[in-house]
Amino acid sequence: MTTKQRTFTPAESEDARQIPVRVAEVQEDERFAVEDRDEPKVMSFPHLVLREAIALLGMSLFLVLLSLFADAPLEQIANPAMTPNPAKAPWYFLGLQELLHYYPPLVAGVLLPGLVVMALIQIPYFDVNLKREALWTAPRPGRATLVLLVAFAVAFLFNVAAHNTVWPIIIPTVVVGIIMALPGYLGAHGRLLSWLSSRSIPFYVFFWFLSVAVVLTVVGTLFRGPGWALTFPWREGIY
Amino acid sequence: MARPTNLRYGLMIWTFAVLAVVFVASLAFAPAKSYFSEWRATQRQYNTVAAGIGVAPIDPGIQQIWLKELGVVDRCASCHVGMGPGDPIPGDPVFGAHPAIPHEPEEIGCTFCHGGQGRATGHETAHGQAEHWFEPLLERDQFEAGCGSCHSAIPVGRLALADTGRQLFERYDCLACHQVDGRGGGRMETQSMPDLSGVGLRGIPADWYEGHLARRREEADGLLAESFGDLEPTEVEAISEYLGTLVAMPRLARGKRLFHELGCRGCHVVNGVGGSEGPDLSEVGKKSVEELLYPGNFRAERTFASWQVEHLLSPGEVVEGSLMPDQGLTRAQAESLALYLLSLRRAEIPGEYWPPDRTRAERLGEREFGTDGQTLYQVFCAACHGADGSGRAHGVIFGQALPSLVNPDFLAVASDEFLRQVIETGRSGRRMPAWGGGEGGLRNAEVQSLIGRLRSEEPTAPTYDVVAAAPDDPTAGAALYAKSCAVCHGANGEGGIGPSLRSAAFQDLATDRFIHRAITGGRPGTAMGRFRELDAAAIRSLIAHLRSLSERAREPVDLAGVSAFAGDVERGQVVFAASCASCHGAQGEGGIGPGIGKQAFLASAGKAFIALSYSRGRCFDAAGTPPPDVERQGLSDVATWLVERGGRSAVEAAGRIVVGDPRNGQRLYAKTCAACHGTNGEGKEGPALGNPEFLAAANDGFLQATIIRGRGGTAMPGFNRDQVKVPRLSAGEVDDIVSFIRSLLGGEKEEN
Amino acid sequence: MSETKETTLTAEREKRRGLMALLHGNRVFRSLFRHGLPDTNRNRALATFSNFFLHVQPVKVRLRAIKFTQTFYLGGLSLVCFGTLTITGILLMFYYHPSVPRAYEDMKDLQFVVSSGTFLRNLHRWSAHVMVALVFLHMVRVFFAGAYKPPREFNWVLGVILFVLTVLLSYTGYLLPWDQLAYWAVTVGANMAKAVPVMGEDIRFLMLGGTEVGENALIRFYVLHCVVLPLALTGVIALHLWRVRKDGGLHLPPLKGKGGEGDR
Repeated sequence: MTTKQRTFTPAESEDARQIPVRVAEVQEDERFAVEDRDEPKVMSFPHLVLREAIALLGMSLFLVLLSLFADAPLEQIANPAMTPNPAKAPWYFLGLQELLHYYPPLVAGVLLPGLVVMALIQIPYFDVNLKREALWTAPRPGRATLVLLVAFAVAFLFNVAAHNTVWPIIIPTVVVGIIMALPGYLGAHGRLLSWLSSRSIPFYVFFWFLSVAVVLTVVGTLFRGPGWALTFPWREGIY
Repeated sequence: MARPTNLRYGLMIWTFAVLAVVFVASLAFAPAKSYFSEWRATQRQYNTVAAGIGVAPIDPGIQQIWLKELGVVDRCASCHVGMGPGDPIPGDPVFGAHPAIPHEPEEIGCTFCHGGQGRATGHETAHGQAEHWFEPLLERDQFEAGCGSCHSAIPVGRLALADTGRQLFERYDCLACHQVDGRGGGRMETQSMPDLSGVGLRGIPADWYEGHLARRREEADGLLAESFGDLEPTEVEAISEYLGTLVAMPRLARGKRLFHELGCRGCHVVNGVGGSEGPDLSEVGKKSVEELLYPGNFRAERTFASWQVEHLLSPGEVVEGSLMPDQGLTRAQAESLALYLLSLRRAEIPGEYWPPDRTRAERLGEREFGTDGQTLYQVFCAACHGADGSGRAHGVIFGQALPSLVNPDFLAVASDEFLRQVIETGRSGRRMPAWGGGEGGLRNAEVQSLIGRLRSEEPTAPTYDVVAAAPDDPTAGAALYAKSCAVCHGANGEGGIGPSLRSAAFQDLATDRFIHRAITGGRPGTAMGRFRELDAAAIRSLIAHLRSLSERAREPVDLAGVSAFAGDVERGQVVFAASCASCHGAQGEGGIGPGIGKQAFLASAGKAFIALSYSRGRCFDAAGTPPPDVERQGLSDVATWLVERGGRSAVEAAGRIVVGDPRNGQRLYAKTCAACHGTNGEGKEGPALGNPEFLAAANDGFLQATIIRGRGGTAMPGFNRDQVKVPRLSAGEVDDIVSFIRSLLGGEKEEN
Repeated sequence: MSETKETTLTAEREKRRGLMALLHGNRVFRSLFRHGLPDTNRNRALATFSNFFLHVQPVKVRLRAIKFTQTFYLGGLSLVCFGTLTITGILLMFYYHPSVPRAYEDMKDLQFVVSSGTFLRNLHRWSAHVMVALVFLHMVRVFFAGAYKPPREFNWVLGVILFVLTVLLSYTGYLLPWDQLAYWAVTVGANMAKAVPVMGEDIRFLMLGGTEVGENALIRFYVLHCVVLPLALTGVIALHLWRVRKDGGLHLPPLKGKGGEGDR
């Protein structure tokens, strides 16, 4: 029996077992990191499971007690002819509704929420270089002033496009700008300032977004009454 | 690997155990809360009370009346046990029996009448005091408002007649035998006579009076024989009208009547009919208290009724800037009205549940209010124009004075068409709503009734026979002519705004009867108004004076005897269009020449008059050129067409068109009229003349006549005589002003 | 950890076995749980990975990871809310008709005649609000911990999707009671959709099944709320949890001096 000279042609129908050829390949591949970290570990059962069970019970208990003592609102039957004043969306949309007070519906109802979701989704993909880079390694008043100016510029830009003065955006923007700039002027003295100075720019951007979102939602939920006029919950109650 | 410490295993186990127990216990709370519900407690209480007086206890359970087609789920009997599963406990406010009512609760449920929340099973929730429940339980003194859910159109009747009927009913002591709303019936202890409380809904037998008479004849010595007297037919009608308003809901009927007496519908729509100035009240009774805005200083309890009462008593204090006039109501009246408003809560129910009043109104198109002129006037006009039509000083509220409708000068120059058009289309920019067609909801015949009501304010002119028999006094005739006629017809009847009265043609053709008719009926569409205030002698003297103006001896034409004026209708139309329409309008409605297609004119004139008017030379165009040549047969045809067809023309309102010089008119207007009517007719103290609806309704004749005669009782003077501060306008000047006012229609700016 | 100590501990446990051993010897119990009493690390490991519900977790976890202040258990608590919502939601469906005006009348019947009906509705309503808040807080916590960084990028995206789904679930459920609050809140929301350029009106029409909020919108929201969105959410949650394991478990900050994970 003579060994025939084989020609290697890639053919899917051929049975790999009959072709005793192995091709080793070094492939660049990205996997998740599996590290054997030398730190204390515990058995999931019972330690984690027990804590989870406590969390489950605690949460359920909280919800049950809430439901026993607070009744869900139920107003009169829907009546398209009678518009309540103000007509409010669910609380988590009141930030958006508050925006509607300042910007045309296209901006407040479509562009901004769309941009926010897009921005949230892209966070992990554009963050690599800025990560863990402290904003301040030393006091730099010039740069701090620049930071402040940027904050004012952002607040100004938001205000230019609005038809009412956007205090719920201006105030948190300026406040975050000041917090950002503070270690740049004063240096990292004390725990708070050093903590602030060690934060990165993405941290502050997210913090700013969060402040604006919270302020808008709180204003929309608690401080808005008939005609979307400013009210104070301790005087007129919550609408 | 280092063994982990500080895991606090024991603590965790205990936390878990305690939480588990607390959680399970808390879960048990919800069913317990459900079990110890209010209705169960109430039923236990019933059983306790029942045991005390020997009434059988009931098995616990929710009781409900469920009527699918009505959408009723009423669980009231779960607590009001005496009205449901258990025997009533006498005198108990909760467990007592339901008072006698004409309806079976099993058939219509509870909430249609009482309001409240039928599905609820607790005291506060069921009685509708809960937040966000728009329909609270009706108070004891308001519960008739609940009737309005179904009885959406209880009849009000003809107001004055029903009033008379009520007085007669009392005067003839019908209450001796019959009961009405719990009153009367005392004498009929042995015999039962029908209770008349709800007879307006059940229907009144058309022959009730004849029936009574028949029984009176039958019973020689019965009560009826001695107590039932004879009635006039008008009295029978009045009593019938009154009976029609008895609907077994006396308080509601009173409130509704008051609403109509005060003329609230003048500004408010109810069931599709009413003025558009105020809010539509058709379903105002469904309004929730939360929808009402209470002023900070609101004193009374915050209910629908209290809001309405306070608002009715002083509208401006409850609703800032409210346009509603303060009617000076008493509190009792306001409460009565509030009850009616609360009853405006028409519920959607299947047709087989409709009560007769609703069927009559909504299926058969009958009105809830009487449709005679007087009632219509009161219901729709009185609130603004005053109960007697003399106008009302609502100036403070509406920012404008409301005109008097019974002003004799106004009625004399305003034609029926003018009145109809103003009523139907309203006056934009003013508080006068449009009542015609779909807007205000008044029907054609109803507008006609209203016009009739206004016309009834005019004096009745003496008939021709009376005039003919009256003595004539040439001096009085001349004085009267100088005062009332000369301004248009010239001092010697030579003509001006009006036609020449001395011309031979006029004198020959116009019979005394024709002149009488022209004086008392006016000539709609021209400046010739009615002079109804003249008595027979005055008219007789005036006719005599007119005759004395004649250029020559009168040669009366025997119009009635002329039989030759038989023409062809079709040809007549062609000839009219070719030769006459340019001046008299395509349908004879009037143009530069007078309207000769009007029923009123044709009735007094006749074919021969028309034909001969032409041939005797009364026909000239504005420049005085003789008319186109029309042969005799053509004249007959035109006259035939006019009499037979022209009078039926729909085009009535335009009237005669005045040809004047608007530039001169503007100058005169600025001098004489602008002070009151505004430089561009926008209105100041006087009404706006540039108003499109006004200009559409008022023809040139109306404008001329108003300028000349003025409007007695208002600031509008007549410009026909020399007075201090009021210049005398010549016929030409009046025409110029009219032309200028006409030009305001296009909203043209003042030309300088 | 020394062998001798472990042995003595085991011996002590042997004494205490008694009843528990009896239970674990039971045939029915063995058919449910295939491992013995979880008193040895082997059995504890088995308890974790032979159990369908627990196998999403590793057998051993780092001590730091179970610390409450590390995560505040926000994700897990959101899951608890979702579970509560599923259970109460199914119970509520027994009483609910998505039609006008039955929907509102059903709310009233829940309030007045269904045993614990108010409690059921309360539980559902409050859990929904709490869940929206918790999911948001979870997201914020993850961001500040930097747990979105590689290799967890995609799981962060899944998290954002979960947040959007949660809000949509809550929003679609908001209409179902058919009261004024529901109607106008949804009307306000739907009017925002109208602002989308070019096809705003069409989106709104698609969303409501008509030009205004009515029975068609109610049916659509009902189906979305009870079928489509819960299924989607369940699927994405499964993916999300699976990715947590596959991306190396809980993200923890690096230990001092040891180049741990998260330093890339």
